[in-house]
Amino acid sequence: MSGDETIERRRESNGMPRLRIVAPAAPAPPVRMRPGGAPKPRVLAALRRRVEAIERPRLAGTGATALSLGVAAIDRALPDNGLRPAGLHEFLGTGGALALVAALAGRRLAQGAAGPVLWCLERGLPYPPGLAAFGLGPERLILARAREGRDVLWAMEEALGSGRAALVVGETRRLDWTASRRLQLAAETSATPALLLNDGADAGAAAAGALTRWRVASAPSGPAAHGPGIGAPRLALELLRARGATPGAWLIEWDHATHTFSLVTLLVDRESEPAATPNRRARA
Amino acid sequence: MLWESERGTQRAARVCRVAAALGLAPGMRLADARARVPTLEARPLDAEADAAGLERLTAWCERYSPWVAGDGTDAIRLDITGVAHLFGGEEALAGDLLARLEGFGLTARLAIAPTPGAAWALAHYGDGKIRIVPEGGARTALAALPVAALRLEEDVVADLLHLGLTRIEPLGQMPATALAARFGPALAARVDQVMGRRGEAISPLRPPPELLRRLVFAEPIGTPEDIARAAGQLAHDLAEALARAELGARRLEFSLYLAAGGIERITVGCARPSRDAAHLRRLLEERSGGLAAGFGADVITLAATASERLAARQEDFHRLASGPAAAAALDRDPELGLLIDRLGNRLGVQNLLRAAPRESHLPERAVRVVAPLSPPQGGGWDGGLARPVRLLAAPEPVEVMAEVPDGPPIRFRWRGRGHRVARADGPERLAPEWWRPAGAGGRTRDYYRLEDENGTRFWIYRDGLYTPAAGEPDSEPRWYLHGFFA
Repeated sequence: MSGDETIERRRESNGMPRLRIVAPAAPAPPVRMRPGGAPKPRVLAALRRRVEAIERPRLAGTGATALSLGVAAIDRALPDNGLRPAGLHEFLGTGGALALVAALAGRRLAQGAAGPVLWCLERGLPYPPGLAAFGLGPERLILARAREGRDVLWAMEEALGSGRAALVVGETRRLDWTASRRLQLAAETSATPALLLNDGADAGAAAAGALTRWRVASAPSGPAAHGPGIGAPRLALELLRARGATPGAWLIEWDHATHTFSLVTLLVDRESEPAATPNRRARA
Repeated sequence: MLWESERGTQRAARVCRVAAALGLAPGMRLADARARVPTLEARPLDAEADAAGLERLTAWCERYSPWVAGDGTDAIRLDITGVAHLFGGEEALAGDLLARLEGFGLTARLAIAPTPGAAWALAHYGDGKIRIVPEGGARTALAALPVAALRLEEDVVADLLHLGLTRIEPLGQMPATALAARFGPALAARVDQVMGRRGEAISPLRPPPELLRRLVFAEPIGTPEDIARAAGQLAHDLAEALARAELGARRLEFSLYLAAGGIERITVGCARPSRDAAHLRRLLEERSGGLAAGFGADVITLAATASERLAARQEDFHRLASGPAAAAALDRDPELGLLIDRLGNRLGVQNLLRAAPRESHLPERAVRVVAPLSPPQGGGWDGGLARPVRLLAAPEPVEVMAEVPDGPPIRFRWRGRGHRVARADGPERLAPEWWRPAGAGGRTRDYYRLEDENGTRFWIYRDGLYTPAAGEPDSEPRWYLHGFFA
């Protein structure tokens, strides 16, 4: 591939993927290689920048608002000051991950995105009253039940490709590299966020194509308003992988009254112990 | 020959042409028939299979016309008004139909006439394999037929024969009132029907579709590409017809009438009435892979089996598709409708849904399923109640250690794993709904929200009270896990 071109994959109206070569707005500087030798560090840096430019398509230009959890500390850790809306993000976990995804979808609708949230799944349905408590009401939530994982991926890609959904959620364990890459491209092309929920125990080889990958777990709740009892739900959030971001871990708390997350500051300094999970620290 | 048992006697029910030529006739005793024709091949009549076969054949006849109906045990009616030209005229249609029936190994007699009665008479009593009667020619064509051709009760026929009235002709000339006075109203009605002086209400096998488009091929086509092209052409034609009628299709039926006999059919539904040719074509294409065309189809039809009024201008809805009205306009965004159709087409229409609140405090009944694009429903769930994000379709039994009578569980075991409860909330008492039939609502439930040491939050309930409420069965309470919180 010549350095002067980027490749954009589009889905045509007939549903067939097609490759289209488009010229970038500004021509990139030529790259010279020393015959037989290692490329200069300066050249490597230029190449990296260019790869990055290809991989990070025009976010600034589209004026798209990043999908934020509303927790400044987490947004700051991400290269786009939040989750990039035109992309695929993967969430490992069960109930906590479900709630987090619902909250993200609710925030996306609150940002003014048109269309419904399309939630594609394979097995049991989420419980709508529970999702509503995390800010995702039933009026704009369309559930699509599929018989098998392949159909979940197909439905997600269709929904992304149509560009009519505000956000697309998929619950599946079956996701290989190619599938995640396809979803990422579809999300990128339509500037629609795609959130993957993966409750599989063995999620090691999953969604390599996703922009970010998180593990979400329910954590012991905050102090109850009165008496012993259960307080506001807390989630242990771990950023496992993200392009251009440092992995990190946070403990957040959901406020049912204001429908917002807030960061829970623990006594142990997070910076000094970046690798520890909030769970362990909470117990320490 | 086929025979059936009638009051303990085996009698001939159907005889083939060869047997008839040898003097055998329906009603004859089997023993007599065997005596007369020692080489007779006689089998018992299977009336049910016969009827089923006739019905299959009737359905197959839809290749010619959407309006078909079985008639008695031995005839099929087709209303070919306005469709004959597709097959090159009435004669060509009849020839084609007869050739195909003979190709299936069937003997058949066909008649095309202005009235159903006349056609029936000629098919049953006319000579030749095909009789075609032009408009207004019924009287002449029927004149020479026996009176039995009028579909009369046996005793009326006997009466007529007794009076020497063997043919239809004189009856046609008598005034209807005289006939009615003499032989009862049935005969007069039959004569009028046959002559076209009185309409005859008959119902088709299936209600004919509101709109149908048909392609007839000289040579059978069978490749997926050809079928897709035919689907595209029909979708285009049907969309035009829908537009003229200001209708949108809700359900389509795409049928391949196979040259070798048989029908291959798919039905696709639309979430919203549509007459967008490209959309209809796409819906058909996605499903047509499942069609087995075999040696090919020579007639292909596309019918709108359900449709709704659709205003001429759909474009206006586009403007509503964004902005603050977006939530209310889900059911207005045409592009979204197309997406939902495509998803529903592959996943099954019932698998695309939206939830809506229902007035019930029982968690499994508080959610109602509505169509994905139905208008927004009012109401909501009580946000003050703690409800799980995941509810198990069927509550799973758990072993629980709890303080009697109303203490929350201290430990519980679910799917073989023990959990120590670190914190608990509850109980939230949900009584059975008294307005539902006894037993349907179950027992009183006490729900507890439990958090184990890892922070996982469970929704567990005790089914039944330690001291049962009035009218509830007096048995040990049982514990169940019903859902998970975030």
